[in-house]
Amino acid sequence: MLRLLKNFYVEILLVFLFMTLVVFFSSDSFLRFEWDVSWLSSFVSYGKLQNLATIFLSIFLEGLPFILIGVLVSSLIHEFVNENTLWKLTPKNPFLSIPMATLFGLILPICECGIVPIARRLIEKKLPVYTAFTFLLAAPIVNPVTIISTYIAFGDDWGITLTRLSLGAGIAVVMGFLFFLFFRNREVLRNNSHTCESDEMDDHCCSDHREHHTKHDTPKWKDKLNHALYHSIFEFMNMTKYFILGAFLASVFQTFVGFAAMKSMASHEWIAIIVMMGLAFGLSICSSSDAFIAASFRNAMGTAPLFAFLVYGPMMDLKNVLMMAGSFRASVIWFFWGGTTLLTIVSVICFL
Amino acid sequence: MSSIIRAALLFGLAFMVAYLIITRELSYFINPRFQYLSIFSLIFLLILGCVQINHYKRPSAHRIGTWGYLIVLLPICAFLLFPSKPLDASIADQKVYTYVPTEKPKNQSTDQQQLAQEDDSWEEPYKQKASELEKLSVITLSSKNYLEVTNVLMMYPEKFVGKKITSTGFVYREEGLKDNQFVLARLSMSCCVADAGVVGFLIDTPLSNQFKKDQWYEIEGTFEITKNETGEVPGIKLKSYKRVPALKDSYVYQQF
Repeated sequence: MLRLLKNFYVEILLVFLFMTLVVFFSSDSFLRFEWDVSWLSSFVSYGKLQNLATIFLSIFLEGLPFILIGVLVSSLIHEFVNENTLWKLTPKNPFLSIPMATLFGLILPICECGIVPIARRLIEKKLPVYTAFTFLLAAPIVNPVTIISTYIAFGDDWGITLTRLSLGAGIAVVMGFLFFLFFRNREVLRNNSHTCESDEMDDHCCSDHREHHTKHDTPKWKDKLNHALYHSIFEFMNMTKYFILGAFLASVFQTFVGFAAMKSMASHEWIAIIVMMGLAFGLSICSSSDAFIAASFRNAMGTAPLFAFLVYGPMMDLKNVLMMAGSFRASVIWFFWGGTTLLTIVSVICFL
Repeated sequence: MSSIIRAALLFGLAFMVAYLIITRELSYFINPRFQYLSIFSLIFLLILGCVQINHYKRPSAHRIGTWGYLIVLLPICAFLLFPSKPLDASIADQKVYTYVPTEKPKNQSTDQQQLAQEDDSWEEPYKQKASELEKLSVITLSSKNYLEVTNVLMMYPEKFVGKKITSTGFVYREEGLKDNQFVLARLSMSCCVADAGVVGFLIDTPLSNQFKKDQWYEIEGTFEITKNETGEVPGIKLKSYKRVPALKDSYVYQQF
């Protein structure tokens, strides 16, 4: 049975999709379509389920354009910008290169979803480890898409946007220097991570790109654009996958737990900060749209827990750690996790 | 084979967005102010779908896997299985009652500092609106002007206390309210449903028992300021009321 599923999942899925569409289009009230899902009410009240679906779709629809913009830009850069050039422009002095790396995100705007494979490739290309990790931390926050979406989500408020940017960049710089102190001469990549076959994260296996880069040394821009669009389909699927899960968990939280519970917690700022960081970690929402989810907590939360969510989420989350586990050594990840967590708590408490 | 799935998913998502835009049901999910963003996603999803069809024989650039596809299918399923409609009033229990819109410019500390320097020019539009409202014999709150008017009312309460006012909303009660109190509430939306909050007027009346939770009423009365533990909140002194059917689009949108 399992093998059957494994071999034919594509077909089964397609049949399912097709049948849903057939049922949808053949129903007489196509424009006022309603499905009887009252049987579900046996275990959960229908109204709540309806609200759950509404909140879920709402978060999805609001985040969708930002994910698409992120995917488009990152794919274009993937094709049109050479990381080698970027590396040559980086100064060799860590006191210059670490602060500079926080600004890379402005030229190479990629969410945390796409940043891990890029950081790994940069390290493979002998970019200093500390610079690459500063970039890895800062780029999801210090990038145009995140800046715009934070600005819009918080009702055109530059204050919140700028605080988020400076906290994120500050933590990234401190982590960069810590990496400079402790990991200057140590291997950070997993032993076999340079070959695709042994890479656990085959989601981001890069065989196709490599072959692509070597095949066309001077490809026409039209081919490049075409490939960038094709590549963005996959990046879109891989990114929305995590985003949809995050939106779903967030909507479950909103319908069943709600803000009333958060409100009582918000009075203890310490607990609220920890809870919001846990949420940011677990929800794994893409940094280009997490501001919209954070904005929904604005009514219930003080500024410190809110920024803990906004700053910690893009740097460190469940899907990010999974992706890093495929690329970096365990010691690096523990160091990374511990460092960012502590720094977020400290900075949020000291500055807000 | 998997390329067909990808194309179907992309077109499915595009269809969903297009359907919501055409039927105007999109406003049940996000603030109509951001409709242009959804139009962008619709166009881009269609382009991606066409690219996928053009390259249907090309090998995958990344492996996605069954679970990946199933998860991307989830929003389409939610869209097909559930009728699109605004949140019903029951969600209000999970929300925080703010009484007044959160975007109240007076309260934003960052603005305050800037504004102190730029003399009071920011206040002009509000002052203008206030003098416009003062001339009216009755202030009628509609879905369109709800947040704007409540903002102005709360900024210059001294000008408006005792003024006749009409408002529509659902009955909402919160822990800590007295027996003879209820809130004539609306859900306010700044971006999407996820950030919706309850706003409304506190009504203090011995008839309170007659107003059942989640029912919609149109209430006429005079504007007043009530104090409770969260500070000053807007209220209406009840004169007359009538039961009305729930509005189709129950949100009031933040206009910024």
